[in-house]
Amino acid sequence: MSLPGFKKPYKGDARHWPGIFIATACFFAYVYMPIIILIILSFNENRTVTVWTGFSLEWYALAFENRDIIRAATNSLIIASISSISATILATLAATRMATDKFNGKTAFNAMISLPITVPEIVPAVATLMFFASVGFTFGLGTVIIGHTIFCLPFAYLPIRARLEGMDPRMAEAAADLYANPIRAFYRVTLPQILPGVLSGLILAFIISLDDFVTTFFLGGAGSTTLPIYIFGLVRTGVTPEVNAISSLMLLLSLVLVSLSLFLGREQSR
Amino acid sequence: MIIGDAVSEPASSTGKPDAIAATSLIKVFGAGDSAFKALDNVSINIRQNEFFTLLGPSGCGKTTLLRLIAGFEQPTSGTILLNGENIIDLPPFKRPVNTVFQNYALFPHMTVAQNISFGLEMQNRPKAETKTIVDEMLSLVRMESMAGRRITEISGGQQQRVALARALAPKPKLLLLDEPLSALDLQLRKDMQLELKRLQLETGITFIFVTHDQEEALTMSDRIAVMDKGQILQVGTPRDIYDRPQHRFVAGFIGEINLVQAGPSGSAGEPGEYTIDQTGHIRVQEGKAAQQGQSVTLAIRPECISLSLPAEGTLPGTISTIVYHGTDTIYHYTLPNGTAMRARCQNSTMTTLPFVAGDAIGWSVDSRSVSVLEDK
Amino acid sequence: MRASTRPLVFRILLIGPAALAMCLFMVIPLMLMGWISIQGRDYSGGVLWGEIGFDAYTRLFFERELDGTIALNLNYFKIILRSIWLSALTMTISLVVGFPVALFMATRSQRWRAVLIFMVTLPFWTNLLVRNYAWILLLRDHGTINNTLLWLGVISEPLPLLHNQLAVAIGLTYSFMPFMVLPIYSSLEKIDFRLVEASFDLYASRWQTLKRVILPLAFPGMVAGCILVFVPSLGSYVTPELLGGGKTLMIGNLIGLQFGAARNWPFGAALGMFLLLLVLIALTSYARNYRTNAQVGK
Repeated sequence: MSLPGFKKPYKGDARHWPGIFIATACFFAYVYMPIIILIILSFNENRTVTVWTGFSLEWYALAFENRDIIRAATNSLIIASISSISATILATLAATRMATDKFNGKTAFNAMISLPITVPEIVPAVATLMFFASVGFTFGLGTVIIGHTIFCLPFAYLPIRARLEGMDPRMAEAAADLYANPIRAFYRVTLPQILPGVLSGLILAFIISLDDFVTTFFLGGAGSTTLPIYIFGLVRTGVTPEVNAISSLMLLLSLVLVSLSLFLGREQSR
Repeated sequence: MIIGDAVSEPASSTGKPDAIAATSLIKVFGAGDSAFKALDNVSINIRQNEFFTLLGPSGCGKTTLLRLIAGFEQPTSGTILLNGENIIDLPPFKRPVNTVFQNYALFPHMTVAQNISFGLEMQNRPKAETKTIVDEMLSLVRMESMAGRRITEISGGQQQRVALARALAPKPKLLLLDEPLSALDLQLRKDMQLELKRLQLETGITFIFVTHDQEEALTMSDRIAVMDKGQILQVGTPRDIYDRPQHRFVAGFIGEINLVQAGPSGSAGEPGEYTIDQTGHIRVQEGKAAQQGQSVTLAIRPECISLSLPAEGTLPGTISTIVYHGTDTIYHYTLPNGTAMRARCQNSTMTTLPFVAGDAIGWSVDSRSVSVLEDK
Repeated sequence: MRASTRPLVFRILLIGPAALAMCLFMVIPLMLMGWISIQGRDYSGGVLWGEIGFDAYTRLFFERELDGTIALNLNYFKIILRSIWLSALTMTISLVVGFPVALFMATRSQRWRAVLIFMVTLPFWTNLLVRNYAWILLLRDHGTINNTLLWLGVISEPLPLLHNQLAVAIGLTYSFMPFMVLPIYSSLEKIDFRLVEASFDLYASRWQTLKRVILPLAFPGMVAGCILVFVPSLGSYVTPELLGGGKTLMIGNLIGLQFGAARNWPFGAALGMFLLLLVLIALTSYARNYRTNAQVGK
């Protein structure tokens, strides 16, 4: 394997276009530079944040001692776990039928379930805020969890449905032919085959929930402060090294989870 | 059993009811303008322990018929009796019928043995019995050494055997095979044809085999049903179908054949004699008397024609092309009325025919080898 | 018939819960928002139910003076125009930068493509807030960029990089760029590169080939990418909040304000409806484009 773009290209090569390597290199620099600088600065011992003076883990230690941060992190994990699991269950149940059946209203359902990714997040967030207020819900963990479940649904639903649609329809028929009733056929044949897809969908929903700011901000109440809300509060008052430390940790967590999810997705597509 | 069923049940020679008795099956897909009639009033009886083949081009309805018997689809109307019992309301998982799918549909997340035991587990058979049957099936299809392999780790031919073993393990009353050999290469296909025939004889299970390959149908089947456009055109033994096709479609679909237009014989009244325009008279053994002035189509297999020099008792023709095929040679010739004909002569015969293109020849055919087709 | 009613029962049991959840917590709230947008305003925060009127919508262009007269006030409308302008700018930058990247990806070997897709996708799944925060570190007066330029001696005073439209455009592009690259890539990836060779063979130069062969084939992906960047940019909240400072509000922030300090729910709801309308226009224009393209494709 040679590095892309480093071969002296032949002028008639249909796959070589001048300048695209440079453009891509600049693009990736643009994409990754801020993240890398943030992580480097989180290890900076200096309080002024942007001038590098020496390596230190002090800010990580401070962050782990901060009760507010621990509480916010706990909230984030509670919300992300419950919403991603409920979204994945709802999505899997619906996808099993949506992938195979033909019926009126199928398009409408697909459009409805995709609303959270077609409409800018702020709109459903304030609409749900008004709805909860009108119905008389108390804002807190509960309202945030409902909001996140809805928001995460398409992220879980779309990959699971795609996986189910990619499955040989004869698999379900073969199971039925061999005396498996629909429920046993699902547990023994369908689920094992889509499980990596379901897990990958679950992880993506978990990340989406963990990272969400807007929905949490508008649907939250007393006691539902999550890490992004906490970071937002700090950033608005000023840049501090602790923020760098928690931000880096959040980045790292997302990177690990998304790598895991994409890996699972690749495994099953083999 | 209700009375209505008893009426439609023909007494077969063994006294047992037919394995499958399907009556007036209609299956329509879609509705309105886009409606498509996949099965058009199909009735068929399949006997016990028979190797029965549904033969036809793609889209002829053969797979739809199979799926109706398996229970994957519901007929628009009609009934299906399995061993005399109506199964039309049973979902596939309650029908004692198993299927070998076209691409096998083996469960990729299970091993060979797990695939074979799946149906038995779903029937809640005791563990010990399941294990015995699985071992039995593995040896039946000669896959003992592969039991622990994953489906992705075995070859196409081996997958084929596992699919067979999986479908046979629950000892179904009926085994349905949906073009199971189409994915295999030629040599493997020939081997599997023999293998399938052996399994059918050993297990005594009724096989319904779907294929579009006429050669496969002819070599393996006890009886064949030829289908086209949602209808069954002819049912019979392979020899019946090949030697005595009743329809133009059947004649053309199976093997090569010459079709010749002929009219009633001049003497009008001698049954079994027809006249080919500008050419001469031809006798047919079991010919129906052509009605006054009506023409028929005669079907003659190329290998049934003998060529000679023009002589008394032969019909005239002119050689147009000669194509050498190794074991035999095909002589293309035309009749005086312009009809193109083919004759196939084995090359191993002592005498080599000394013809070249343009030669006038004489040809003849045994009256038993000429079929009269219904014009359809 | 028993066997044919069974699928219906399963369908209701399995699809029902998700459909119900979406109706209850997505569709009904959106409908309620439409309803609230034509209600009266309760100054203590909330809604005066039943006082139907279009005050909230007229507020987009006009202002009611203390004495009751109505005067033209385009301050809010300017925010809307700015949102559209910034989103269009973001879309254009993303398209210009994203296309060569997508072309590069599509011309690599299978193995490299997987790596590159992974690298493009990865940042999308990291925290949006954190990614925007990282730009504060770079752009602020004593941030990495200014410090580097000062150290190099290129400038003597820190440049005002943060809290302006440029900062917001950079942040938006940064946030939504993968949405442009991936759809373009997926349409480029389907191109049989023998078509390009055929074009060369027929005397087309690189530039002509790009214009006459590659771009038309990549067009559906480019349109999809533009929509996928434009729509979330238009409704963005976090980026203008962090990088724009108080002066560079976008519609999203204006909506947010109505549920915070300003306490004007009907106006917030009306702005929400307006944003929905803009999104709808963008999406239908995409759908129409998609259809005409599908026809051309035949």
